[in-house]
Amino acid sequence: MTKPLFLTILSPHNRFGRAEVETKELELIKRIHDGDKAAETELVKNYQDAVRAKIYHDMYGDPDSHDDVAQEVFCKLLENLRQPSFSPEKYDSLFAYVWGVTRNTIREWRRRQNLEKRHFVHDDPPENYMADEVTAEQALIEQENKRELQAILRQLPQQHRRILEVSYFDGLAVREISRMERMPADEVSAKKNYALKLARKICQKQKK
Amino acid sequence: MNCTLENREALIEAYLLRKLSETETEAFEHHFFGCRECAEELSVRRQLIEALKTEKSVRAAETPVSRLLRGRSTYWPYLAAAALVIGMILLPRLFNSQAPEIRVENFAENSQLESFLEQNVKNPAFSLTVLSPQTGENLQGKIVFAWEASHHDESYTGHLDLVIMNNQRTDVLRKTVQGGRFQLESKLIPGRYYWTLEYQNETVHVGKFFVGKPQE
Repeated sequence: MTKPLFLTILSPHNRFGRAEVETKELELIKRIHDGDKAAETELVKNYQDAVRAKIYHDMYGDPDSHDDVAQEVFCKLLENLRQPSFSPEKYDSLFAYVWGVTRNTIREWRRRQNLEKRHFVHDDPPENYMADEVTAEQALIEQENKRELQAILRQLPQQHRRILEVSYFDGLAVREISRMERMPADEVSAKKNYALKLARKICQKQKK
Repeated sequence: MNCTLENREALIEAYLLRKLSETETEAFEHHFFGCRECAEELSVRRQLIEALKTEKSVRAAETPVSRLLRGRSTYWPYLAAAALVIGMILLPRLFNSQAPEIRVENFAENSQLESFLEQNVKNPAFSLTVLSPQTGENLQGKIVFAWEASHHDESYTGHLDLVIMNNQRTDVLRKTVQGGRFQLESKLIPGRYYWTLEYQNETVHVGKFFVGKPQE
């Protein structure tokens, strides 16, 4: 029997320790309360990757909506965090709160889509220029990344591309690809890691 | 790297491929919403998958001529020179030899697997109609495995294990499939293949197909 993939979930705060992270989170929330625009940008940048990963996961069949949902998540987050009545003590942590808002926004989005199908109209989400600006910037960065990644993929040897395709489209594990390609598992991993390394380089360059 | 999450790589891949259970998904999401490293790695792989998808669809829509024309014009003299050299070296060999990827031994019969095929292993509680591939079918390109199954047991969830073996009885692919359909995106090398469907470690179907079998 195969070993369960998930044995223990480590705290994400293994580096700083819980107390320090909470202090940082509280400081960020306080700055947002005080109307600090840089703090709002920092919040969006901190959670952009995680929010987009969840949207990609939960709304796989609807890629055209990903940017709009991400924008709505951050609009709601900033709107709530700016409220004087917002009390961070009610939540375990800021990241758990962001996760909850993301989950609820995806659910609401889906419900609205279903209503739309039945010819109902819905109000546009409230405008929030800060969230709009940062998420739009991220969307542009991702478009640029995509172009560069496509150029890299075109230059990769066919076997590298094939390994990536069977890995991500067929969901095959390294061992399965190794059997299919009649190639040692180490070599399969090395080819896949090479492509990932190039991808990381492109994505990190744009972030800087 | 500061994140010490156990099975980190496998979790990231499984999450993106939506292979985690609901509980595992939620637990991993709680982790990466607080872990910048995992969130960034998810972002890199997500963008790579999206680029791969677009690139694949672009390639599928391209003709060989348009692919060449898309290249920069400055490459043409080099391409022409390379083609000439390759042509001079390879053409005589090409006409004198068989295509290298077709090997007779890959088409040899595996008597043990063939005997399973004739026995047509079946579970009486299981009703199965195989739609594709048909036994002995010669296939090219993407292969679609399709079947309709039902079980008298109410606990049956529609999951079956699909196993593809080459003629050496080596597993080429082993995958749990739900919904009675799986399309193999990658190309198998030419040869004789056997495939089975298993339910709770019991074989309920054995089939055979060929890939790129030369005309006799």
